[in-house]
Amino acid sequence: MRVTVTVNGEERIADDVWEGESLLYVLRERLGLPGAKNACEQGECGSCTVYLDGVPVCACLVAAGQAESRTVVTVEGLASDEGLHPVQQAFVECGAVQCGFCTPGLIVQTHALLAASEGVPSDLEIREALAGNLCRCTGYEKILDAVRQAAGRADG
Amino acid sequence: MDFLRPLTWAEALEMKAERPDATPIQGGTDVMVEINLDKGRPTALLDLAAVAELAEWTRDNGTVRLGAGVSYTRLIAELAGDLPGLAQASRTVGSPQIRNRGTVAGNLGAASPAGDSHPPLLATGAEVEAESVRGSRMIAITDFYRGVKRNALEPDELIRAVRIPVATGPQYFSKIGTRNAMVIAVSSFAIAFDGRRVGTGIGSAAPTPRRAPEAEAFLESALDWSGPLDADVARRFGELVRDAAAPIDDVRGTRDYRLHSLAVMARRTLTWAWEDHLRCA
Amino acid sequence: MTTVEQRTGLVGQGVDRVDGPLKVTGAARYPNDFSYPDLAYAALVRSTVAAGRISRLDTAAALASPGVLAVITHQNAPRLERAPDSGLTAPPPPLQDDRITFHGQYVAVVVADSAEEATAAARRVEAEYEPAEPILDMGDPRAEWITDPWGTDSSRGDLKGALASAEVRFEATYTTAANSNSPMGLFSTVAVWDGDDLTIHDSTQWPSYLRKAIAQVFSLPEGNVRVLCPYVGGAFGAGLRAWPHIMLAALAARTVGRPVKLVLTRPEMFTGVGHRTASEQCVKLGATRDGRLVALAHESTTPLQIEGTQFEPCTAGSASAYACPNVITRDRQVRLNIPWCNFMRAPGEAQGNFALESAMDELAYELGMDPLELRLRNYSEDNPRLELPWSSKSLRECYEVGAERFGWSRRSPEPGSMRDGDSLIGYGVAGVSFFWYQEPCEARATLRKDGTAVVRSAVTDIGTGTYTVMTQLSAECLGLDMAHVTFELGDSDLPAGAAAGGSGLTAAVGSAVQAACRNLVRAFLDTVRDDPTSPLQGCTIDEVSVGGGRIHRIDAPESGEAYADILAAHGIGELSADGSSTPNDPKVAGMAPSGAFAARFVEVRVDPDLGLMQVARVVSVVDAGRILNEKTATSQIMGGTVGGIGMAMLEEIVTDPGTGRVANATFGDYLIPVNADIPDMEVAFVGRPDRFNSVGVKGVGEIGLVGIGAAIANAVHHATGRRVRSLPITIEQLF
Repeated sequence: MRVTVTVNGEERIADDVWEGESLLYVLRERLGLPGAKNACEQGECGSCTVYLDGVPVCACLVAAGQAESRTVVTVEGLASDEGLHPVQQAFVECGAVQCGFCTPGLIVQTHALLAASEGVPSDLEIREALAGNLCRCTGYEKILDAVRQAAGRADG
Repeated sequence: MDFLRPLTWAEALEMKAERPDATPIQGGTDVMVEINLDKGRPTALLDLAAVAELAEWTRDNGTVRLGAGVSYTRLIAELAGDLPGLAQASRTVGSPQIRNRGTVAGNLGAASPAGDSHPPLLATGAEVEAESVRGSRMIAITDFYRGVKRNALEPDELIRAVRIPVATGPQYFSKIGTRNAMVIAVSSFAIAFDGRRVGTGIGSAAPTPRRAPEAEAFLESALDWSGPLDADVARRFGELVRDAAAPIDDVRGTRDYRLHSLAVMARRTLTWAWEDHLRCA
Repeated sequence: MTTVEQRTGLVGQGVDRVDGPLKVTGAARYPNDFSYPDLAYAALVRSTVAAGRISRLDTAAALASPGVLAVITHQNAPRLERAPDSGLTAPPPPLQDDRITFHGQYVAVVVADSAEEATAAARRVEAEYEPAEPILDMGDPRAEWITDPWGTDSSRGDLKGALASAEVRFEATYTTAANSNSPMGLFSTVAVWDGDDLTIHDSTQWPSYLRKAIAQVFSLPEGNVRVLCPYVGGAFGAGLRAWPHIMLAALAARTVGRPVKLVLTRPEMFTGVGHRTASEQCVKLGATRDGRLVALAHESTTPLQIEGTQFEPCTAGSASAYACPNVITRDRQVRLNIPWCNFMRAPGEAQGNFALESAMDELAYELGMDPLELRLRNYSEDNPRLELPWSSKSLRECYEVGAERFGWSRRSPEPGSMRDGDSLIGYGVAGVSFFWYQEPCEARATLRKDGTAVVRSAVTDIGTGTYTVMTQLSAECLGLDMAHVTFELGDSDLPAGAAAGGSGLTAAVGSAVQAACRNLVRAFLDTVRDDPTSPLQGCTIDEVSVGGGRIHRIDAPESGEAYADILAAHGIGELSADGSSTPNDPKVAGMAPSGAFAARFVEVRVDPDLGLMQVARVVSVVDAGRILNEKTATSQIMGGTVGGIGMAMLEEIVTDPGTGRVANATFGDYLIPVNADIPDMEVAFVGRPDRFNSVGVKGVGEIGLVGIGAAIANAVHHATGRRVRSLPITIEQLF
């Protein structure tokens, strides 16, 4: 089937999409956007987190057909011409990146957390927000530092 | 595989009648896992995401009618006051990304004994509103679970909504997991006070989620509703909840631990509920 | 050793990762991010028995399935050679016969136009087996035992006599579960043939070896094969072997005449890329009443794949951990019908340290002594096995600084005596003496006419920070700004690189980079040797230093010349030099090579009613010699710590007793720590540059995981009075 979806501000068309295919596969294998990562394909790791109509979701659990006529933003769509988004900058500066495989999902999820937060999120709120993003390298601590920094906290 | 995309509820029911083999998909948090891990391929997916009325909830006559498409995230944000037990359970479901997509109706459709929604639905005496082109019917929650991953829906039926009484007293949910987030329950328990009636729900400790009727009856008769909680009553309640379970050993936990933890959770949730009761009384 | 390094202070600084911006924007390309026109996809069929033979394999339905290009089985696969040894015998090439030796072994690969079609067709391959009774248990009398598999067993003094006469004796058995590396990145191979030339994108930690392996398996000249792995989504040891799926991707691509992508599924990751073995270990200790060790015996048995090889010395570290005159260490392996055992972050040490450091804690209780004091009382000032001074050792300082930062003095010795509300509090400590390891490595440094440098080696950065620390080191060695230096890796066409394994890469590649940079400066001096206009004319390497993009005389810093000016003056486009490193010889150097040392302090909180345990705090003080980048080194320790928490509390590969099937091969069932499991972590580095390699480093990639298991178990005992001698510690053991 054909799926038409707006990705990072651009209307994209994928043809010959299998009906059981995930949005993640469409992004990675059909639309040339491998930023979102496939690591578990069961919603357990958050590596494939993207925005679907402004809501962060695991792209592996969205059937491609469910994205028809909807809007997707991936990690590739967050930086601007002026440079990295502050969330991305904070991840680099705080040492929150190691192998980098979980990073795109964490960047999108953090971006969503900070966009939705009124005021500055507490550690508990950050941990809850990032509970679904597994990382096997960093031990999470510096990811928390990065979120604190991006949120403009004094201890960030 | 076919991808069916109804735009209205009526259309969805017609499609399901024509294609009883079609697997309904809303948030995809169960269905897509099965497909991705190649545990089986449905012959058709019936995508309910575009059916607008499913994403609504209403409150009427002391009951919340929770549309099948309302996500856990919205339930937590919009209904924590009306449905505190279910909201607590919802907070423990998966991750934020999963809660943004997953629904209580999906939990019911999957009918896993470990589903987090089930104990509070049992404790509050919820009803499942099932519908087909043949008509609509209400299924008491205690009649809904028919076995491991089996429920009472007919092949042509879809879940339209879940009807849950608005809380009139304290409700608590407790869940044991081996890690601190993103975990399938080793065991779980819910308690709800409705006036002087007590509801319970046990998860992950029998082939289906179930109530603990003897524990409920004991508590209703043994509680002195005005005074402090008798420690012996709380302990006995825990034992009766434990005795209502029939768990097995599996990779997530042992039978013995499940029984033990149910007794502890029942006692603790009762204690919390009792503190609320006394505070409000 | 003299070096031309200008101590700019660049090395050591916690500079940002140079690969960070690419990774946070999704622009870093991991193996399975590569795509090619006409790309085909492969899916694997795995055996559903653990032992026996394939009795029937029918591929007709699969071949008739939509989009299918080929189905390869042992019935039609060409003969493939076995890959060369990597120090260990390589896995056998796939699909060469009908024998099955573990549940999950590949019996077919299906190639199709899309991943979905390949997967669907793989389900249609009909395989029947003539099963044999698998050997799945170390107690199975049919199992073959291997004693002293690597010649690492050791013995000194008179253990038996010393044990018999010891004032205090202690003996216990400890077990650890099998663990899965489970890197986030699914191992993936994209294979592209161009005639007899093969390009492979792969999740390897060792491109130089993998190229050799692929070339030999396919009987190709090594130069025809190029392995690319600029970014790898973690590996933790899983990328140190030439796995059969890599060969299947290449074979599939050659068979269908198109590029092929093969991405392992998460369940396949549990059977296809190795795992940390379980272990059963016995520790016997003898001591004087005042806490001096007089006898130490450590014996270990670990499973091994029935045709596999693995280096997993659980007891070797115990031979040099403490000053004890009478010691025996012994390792054995038992062959089972299980998936391949392989390296996983701190192989052997992770298990062995749990046993030894738990036993030391138990002995301390027997003696009524502070467990920290017992360790200090038996501190090994020299390496007791080699009887040579350590090349560096500041473990005492680790203990002292750690105890201070942790607040060890607040500990009340009696188990169960510390509480916070309903929670029981426990403090635990463990010491770590990590092994030393280093391989040969080569590098090449090039300076270009614009004054920028590129330094290259066929190594990998699996998240460790190699890109960054080698850029820092190169910049320092050449006297350039970091912005003017690029470090290239992850390409087997580059100078032969060491494996990212054994915590040995930084010393190996760092020494090679240093040598290449030094040789490059020499090459510049050679260029100006006879140039009367150059202020550096006739200078030797020992007379110059570097900085600000130029070489200058040490005795007259204003006399110097910029690299770019020298190149321009002599009409040279660029100048390159090679460098290499080989491990030092302890006897020649007159010292015992040290790995990193560490002291780990842990606080746990236990809900005694439910058996729920939370690690609340971890203080880690590490002697890793010279730290090249404080930020990346700290990350390595923190990440390792959380890996250790996983091993201690969650991680266990569960195998069906009857069938040998891995029963929990998904991220929903094999739980690794999440954000919410993470304690407050503090990391500090102490010590001085190590003397065994010219860079002065001791690797930090693995030690972060070691000691956490024992420190947690010791803390649990302190909190609850329960001694848990098996990992992971489960809720069932604590309620």
